[in-house]
Amino acid sequence: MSPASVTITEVNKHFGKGVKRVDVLRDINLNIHAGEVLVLLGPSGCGKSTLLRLIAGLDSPSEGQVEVDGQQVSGVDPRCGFVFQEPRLLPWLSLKDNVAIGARGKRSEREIHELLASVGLAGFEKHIPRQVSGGMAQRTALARGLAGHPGVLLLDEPFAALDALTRLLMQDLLLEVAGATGATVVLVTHDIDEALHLADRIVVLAERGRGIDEIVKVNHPRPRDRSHPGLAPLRTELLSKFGIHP
Amino acid sequence: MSEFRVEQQNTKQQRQAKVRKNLVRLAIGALLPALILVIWQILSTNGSFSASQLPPPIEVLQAAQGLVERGTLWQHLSISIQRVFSGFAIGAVLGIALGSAVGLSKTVSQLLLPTIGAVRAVPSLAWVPLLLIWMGIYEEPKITLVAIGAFFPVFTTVAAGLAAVDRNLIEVGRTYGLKGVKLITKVLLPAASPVIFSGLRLGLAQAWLFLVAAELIASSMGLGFLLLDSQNTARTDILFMAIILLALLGKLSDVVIATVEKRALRWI
Repeated sequence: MSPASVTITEVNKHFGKGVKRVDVLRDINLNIHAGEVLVLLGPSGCGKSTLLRLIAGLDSPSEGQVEVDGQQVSGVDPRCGFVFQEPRLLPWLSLKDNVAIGARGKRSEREIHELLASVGLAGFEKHIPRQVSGGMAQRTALARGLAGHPGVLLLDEPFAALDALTRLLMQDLLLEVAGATGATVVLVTHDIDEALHLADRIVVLAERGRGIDEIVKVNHPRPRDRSHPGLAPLRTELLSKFGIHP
Repeated sequence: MSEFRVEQQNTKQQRQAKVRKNLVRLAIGALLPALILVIWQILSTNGSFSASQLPPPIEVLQAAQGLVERGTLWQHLSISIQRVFSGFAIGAVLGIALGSAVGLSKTVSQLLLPTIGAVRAVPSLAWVPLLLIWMGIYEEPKITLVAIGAFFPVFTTVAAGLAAVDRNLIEVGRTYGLKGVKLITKVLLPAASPVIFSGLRLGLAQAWLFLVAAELIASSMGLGFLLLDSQNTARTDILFMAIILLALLGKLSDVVIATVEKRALRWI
C-alpha cells in the first residue's frame, strides 16, 4: 500500500493495577506524516518501544487512540510491518520462507526472491537462519517487515545488537529499501547518531511517564554525510538533553 | 517443513571419510555386546552356572531356530509388534491432542491437569483387572494398556513443550497475521517439535514396557507370553531369546523414530 500517516491522540499507557501500576506513556499526541522517517529517541525505559507496539497493534492503549491512515488500530494491524531488536526468524524455515511469512500470501515466489536480493541476500534463499550471520539475519527480518507492502514500517532498535560497522551499513540499507517502497518509517533508538543520520524528525521522549519532551526537525537532505558539520549543533543539543555536556 | 539445502558434502574423500567414521562408530558400539557374549560363553560352560540357569549362547540360537522351524516365532513377534504399534499410535495421537490442548490453553490446563495427574499416578498393572473385565481377554485390553503407557510421556512433553515456546516467536506469528490453527501449525508445533520427538521416543519405550506387562498377565501369544511360558516349562534358552528379541525390537523401533527426528530437526 502507499505510505500511511499515523495519528496518536491523547494516548496513555500503563501496566499493572493499584500500587503496582506503572505509567509508561502519558498524554502522547503525535502526527506522523505519510512517507516521513520519524525516529523515537529516548533513555531506556521511557516507553518508546511501547509506543511503537501501540502503533503496530501488538498492545492497546489504556486511554486515547491510535490511527493509521485515519482508521483506528485495533488488534494486530496488517498495514504495519515490524522489525524487532532481534531478527526473530523462525529457525526451521529458510530465509525465503521467513520472508514469505511477512508477505501474508500477497507475494509471488519471484517477488520474494527480489526482496531478498534487495537486502543483499541473493543466493541465500534456501539457507536457514543458523547458517547465516547476525547481520544477514537482521537483513532478512527487514525484508520480512517490508514483504507485506506495509504503509508503515516500524523498527524497534533494529540495529542495536549489531557490530558498529554492520550497523552503519544497515542504516543506509534501511533508507534505500524503505525509500524504494515509500513506506512511512518509525524507528526506535537510543543512538543519537543513528537518529541524526536517518530522521526527518526526531521525537525525544522524556523519562518514563512524562510524555514527549521535544520534537526536533532535521533539515538536511539525505543521503547525509555522517560527519557533516551542520549536524554538530543538533548533536550537541540532543546530548545535553540526556545530561551529557560535551 | 521447508526444503533447504544443507551445504552439500559431496566430494569423494568426504564421503569416504563419512563411511569410515560410521564403521568406527559401529565397531565401538559392538565392543561391549561382543565382550558380554564372550563372558556369557565362558560362564555357561565352565561350571559356574547350570545349563538351566544360564544356557550357552549357541543353545539360545538353537531355541530360536526351533521356534522358527515350527513357525511360531514369527507369530509371537508379529502379534507383539502389532500390539505395540497400534497401542503406541493411539496413545501418541491422544497424547499430542490432549497435550496440545493443555499446553496451549490455561483453562484447559486447569481443567484437565489435576485429573490426568491422578490417573497417571495409578501404577500400570492396576489397570489390568479392570481392562480384563471391561474388554475381555482378546486384543483390546492389551492395546489399551500399551496406549496408556505411550500416552503419558507424550502428553507431558507435548504440554510442557508447547507451553515453553519462545514468546518472541509467537509474537512474530501474531505480527504477521497468524492465529488459531495456522499459528499452531506454523509456529507452535515446529517450535516445540524437538521436545515432542523426545516425548514420542519415551512413549515408545513405555509402550514396550506395558506390552510385556499386558502379555505376561493374559495372553496366549506374543513375546511376553513366551517369557512366562518358558519360565513355566523351564526353557531358559527361550527366555533368553525372548529378552534379546525385546532388546533388539525396542532398539530398532527407537532407531526408526530417531531417523525421522534427525530429518525433521535438521534446522537445529
